[in-house]
Amino acid sequence: MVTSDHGGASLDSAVLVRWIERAKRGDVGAYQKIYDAFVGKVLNFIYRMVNSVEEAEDLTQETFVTVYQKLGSLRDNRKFQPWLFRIARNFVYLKYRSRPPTAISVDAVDDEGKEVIQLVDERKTPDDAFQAKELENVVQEAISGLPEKYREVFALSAVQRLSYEAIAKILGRSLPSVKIDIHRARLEVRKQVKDYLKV
Amino acid sequence: MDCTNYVDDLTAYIDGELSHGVAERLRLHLNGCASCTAELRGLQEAVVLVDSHLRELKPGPELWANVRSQIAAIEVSPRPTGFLQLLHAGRWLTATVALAATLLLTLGVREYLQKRRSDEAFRQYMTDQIEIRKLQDEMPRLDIQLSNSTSQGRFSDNPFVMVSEETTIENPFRKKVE
Repeated sequence: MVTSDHGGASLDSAVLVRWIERAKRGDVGAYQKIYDAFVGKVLNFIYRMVNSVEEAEDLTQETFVTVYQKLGSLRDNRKFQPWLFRIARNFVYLKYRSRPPTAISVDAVDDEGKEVIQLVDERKTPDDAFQAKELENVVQEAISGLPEKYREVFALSAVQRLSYEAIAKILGRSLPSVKIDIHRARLEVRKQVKDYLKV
Repeated sequence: MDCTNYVDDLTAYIDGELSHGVAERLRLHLNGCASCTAELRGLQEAVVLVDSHLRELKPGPELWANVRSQIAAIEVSPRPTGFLQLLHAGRWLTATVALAATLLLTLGVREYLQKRRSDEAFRQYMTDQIEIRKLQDEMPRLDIQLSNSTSQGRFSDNPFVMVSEETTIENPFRKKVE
């Protein structure tokens, strides 16, 4: 039996439940396996929300420490994934509730101290890697520029490939409202990217 | 052609999140609607573009090291399993305590009512006994005169019936037989 994500690699839910049971009894090795299975998803989800690598790592760390601490309170181990993402989301909102999303400035430096590529008509002579990097920035900027409620559903659906039902459970919202917001988020991202590509 | 009902479902259609019936209706609509088909294609291209240019962060080894060092200080008390887990689960414990309290209360009230009825019955019995004793004490003082010599009628053995000659009353309507 596999966990219900559409697309992407899936972890066998029976295996996950066993790891959780062992972790609840203090088995750190089992908890590391859980960490390895979910850290990428959580890190990238938080990154889409806060648009900062350093802050995403900090919040991911806090998330997994809290999850270990509260693991005993999880009654149904099969609901681990939505529970995990709710904790991650809560950390994001605790820290960034009133903060607008940070857009990438054309004169800013990224986390490695390198200048962000200026988005000024570079399409004339870029090589493929250069163009790919540029598009990455455009996509990331488009996601960061989304309104908060669109950004989180976009991050969970298009990026994390979670099912609509799983997303609705994580966010505590109805399936129809999640569906419509995912559609609007995709339309908005497409509009941003289209404007750049002039397609 | 009214596309209002279909446009909002396009993303869910791409993600495979529509029910079979709804997906089938949308597919039929797309077969005859160039506008929605173009919109669907645009969305699919955007999905491919985003997927292929999404910056994917990879967690470094120091991230787990930091988590590991923090959780080492956290003490985890092993939770009981099986039946004991039920008892330790907060809501089961609360339900059990509530049920036990209700049963005790019910039994207590029932016992109280039974005792009260029993006390009432005992008091009534004692009251009756006292009355009977009083009557028995008063009976010898009653002045009952029995007429045993002249009229040994059917009431001669009954101490509560007084028979006397004076109670014979002549019937004025009876014809005198001469």
